[in-house]
Amino acid sequence: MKNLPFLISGIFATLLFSWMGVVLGTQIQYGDLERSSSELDENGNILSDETLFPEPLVGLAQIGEEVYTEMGCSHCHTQQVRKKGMGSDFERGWGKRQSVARDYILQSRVLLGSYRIGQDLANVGDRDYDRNWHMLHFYNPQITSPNSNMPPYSFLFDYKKIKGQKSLDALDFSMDTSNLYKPEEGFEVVPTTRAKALVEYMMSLNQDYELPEMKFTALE
Amino acid sequence: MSKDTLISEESIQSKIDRSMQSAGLLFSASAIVWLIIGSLFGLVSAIKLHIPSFLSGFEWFTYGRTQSVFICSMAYGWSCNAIFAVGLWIIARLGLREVRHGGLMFCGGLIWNLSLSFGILCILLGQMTSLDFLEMPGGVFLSMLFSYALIGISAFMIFKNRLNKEIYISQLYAVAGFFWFPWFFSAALFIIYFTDVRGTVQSVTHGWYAHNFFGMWLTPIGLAAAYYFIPKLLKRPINKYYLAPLGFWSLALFYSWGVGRLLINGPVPVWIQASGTIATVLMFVPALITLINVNWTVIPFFKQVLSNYKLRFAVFGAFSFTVFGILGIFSSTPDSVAVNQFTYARESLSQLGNYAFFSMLMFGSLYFILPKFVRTDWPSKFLINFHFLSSSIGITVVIISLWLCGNIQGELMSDPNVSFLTITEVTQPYLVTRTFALVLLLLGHLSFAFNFLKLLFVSIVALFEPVDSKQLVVEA
Ligand code: HEC
Repeated sequence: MKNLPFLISGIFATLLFSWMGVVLGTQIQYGDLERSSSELDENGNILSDETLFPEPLVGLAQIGEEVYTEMGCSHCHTQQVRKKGMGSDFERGWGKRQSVARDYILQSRVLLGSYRIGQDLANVGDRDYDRNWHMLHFYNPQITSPNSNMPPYSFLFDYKKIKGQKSLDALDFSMDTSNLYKPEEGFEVVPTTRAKALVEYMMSLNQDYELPEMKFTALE
Repeated sequence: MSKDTLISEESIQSKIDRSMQSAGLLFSASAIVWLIIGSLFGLVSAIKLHIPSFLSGFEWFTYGRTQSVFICSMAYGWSCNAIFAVGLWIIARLGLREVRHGGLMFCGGLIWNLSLSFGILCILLGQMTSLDFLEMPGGVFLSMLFSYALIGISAFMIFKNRLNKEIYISQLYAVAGFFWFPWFFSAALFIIYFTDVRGTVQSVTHGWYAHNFFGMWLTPIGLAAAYYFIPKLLKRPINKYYLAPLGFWSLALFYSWGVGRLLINGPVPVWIQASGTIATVLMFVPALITLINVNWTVIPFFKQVLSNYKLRFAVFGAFSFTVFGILGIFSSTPDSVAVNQFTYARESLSQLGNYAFFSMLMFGSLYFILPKFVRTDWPSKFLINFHFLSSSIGITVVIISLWLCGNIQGELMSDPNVSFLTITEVTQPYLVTRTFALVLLLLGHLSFAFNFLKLLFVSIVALFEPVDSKQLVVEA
């Protein structure tokens, strides 16, 4: 082992090999994926008069995606449904089908996540939670999910004295049967824009559409 | 070897130690500071998982951010600085070449650590991405890449101008690490931050980066240290040394393909997932060869290991590498992936690699090298023993509790009738255990830091003392 140029090129080449395979290979296969209609015409072209999926986030939900990133929610939540038979993603109702690459092409930063300390959120917008449920859950998860270890995000809310009439968007605490988290008499909890954005983002998260390469998984 | 060459080799060695003194001390001191910062943030994150209201009123300290700060300070703060100190020193020592550009290295180290501090601040303020290991803003990473260039070029110069033309296996690992790091760092940085690569291509690139960070950067330097210090301290040749290059090249070829293992069943090409599993299984070659080379050399001399504090750290690290290889293979079978994926078991494996293997080897190496920089011996053996005990017990408890926790979590998650709140409840005792173990680790790190401060203090005092008492200190 004395031939330096040989050694250095070997060291360089091994990594080049995996870079070409893994990174470049994926880019070649997926790099130019576009939005698509659920079905294709007989020539395999996109039906341009139908809705194209995935649909872009609109309005507040876009800001919500940023809030999701800067709070580091993806340390505890994934946004990817595995195929039927892998764990119980499907049985838990986390999605109607497996997630595929096309679902992610509009995300500026992909939020796949790698831990499931909480549930998968790829289709959370599809579950029957209303906006107030999400608000209460973010304000303090103990209200909706006692003993959860999801952190409270109370700093996304204003706790303030009611002046005259109660604010329209003040949180409705009627779910809080324990009475532990309700604001005191004469006070209210109002979401900031960031909290509203985050909730809009939650409501808009779903992969509730079929794609040419992936149909809904049959129930049984 | 004649007496003359022995003496000249010794004088070259001390010349090397002196030539690296300022940069080496900067790297080591920064490594230790980041180690403490990282373990504090790691502890805070761990507590939050069973007391979610802990420090929850401050946006700065929400779980998502403390966890990211933990990852980044351990990776770029502790690990990289320790590598700069230990890796460069091994390259210089084995090449019998002193460092010519100590100033350049020192500047590189300074810029590296300043950029990192700024990046950590950005995370705390919410200027972060969702990709672990790449949470900090692109500009911060660019400036770190630039500062690395200063360090890496000096590393290359030392190696190129080496006087001892023979290349040893530990040198090979170290030099390769110093080459691979800028290669995959710049490639990933460029693709993720400065092109508009979309969708899961980003996830694959990110996975490739995070995977290489451990496999092509921490692992080679960790192995370099194992191959260097263990035979040296034992005064034994490596068992079946001729196998070592095979171990090196198989690591180089296979490791980096293992990314797919982390992305399995995800929205990425199927062949990446398949090659990921194959590559992980093929990792048994380097793991086995290290086992034969290093661990086999150690086993007959276990008594000696117990009495030598530097060896104890290094041997703990080397054995952990074997365990890491075995566990990695077992946990990548499709059945166990279906259960363990996305659970604490993943964190357990990562702690096994990053701490039990890599960090323990770095501790051992630093305990060996630092006295050479300041030419004073460690002031307190007690603190070293304490550090070893707390680190070895602490990390074992962390790994086992997370492993059990992850498997239980995975089993329960696979059963659609078990609610998430039940899972949270069942995993609590393991998470609490982990927190206690992390406190123990932190205490160990503090005693390391304290001992280091004392070492600096003693050596500075020695500088001002009359010559003959200085002689005494060096000999002691
Ligand atoms: C420490 C880990 C952790 C973090 C960080 C975290 N969560 Fe959670 N999350 C959980 C756990 C555990 C649950 C399940 C119990 C519950 O409902 O609180 C959960 C549940 C949820 C649910 C309900 C899902 C369902 O199907 O019932 C939503 C929505 C959610 N989290 C959104 C978020 C958002 C948005 C963030 C970031 C602002 C976040 N989470 C951060 C752990 C976490």
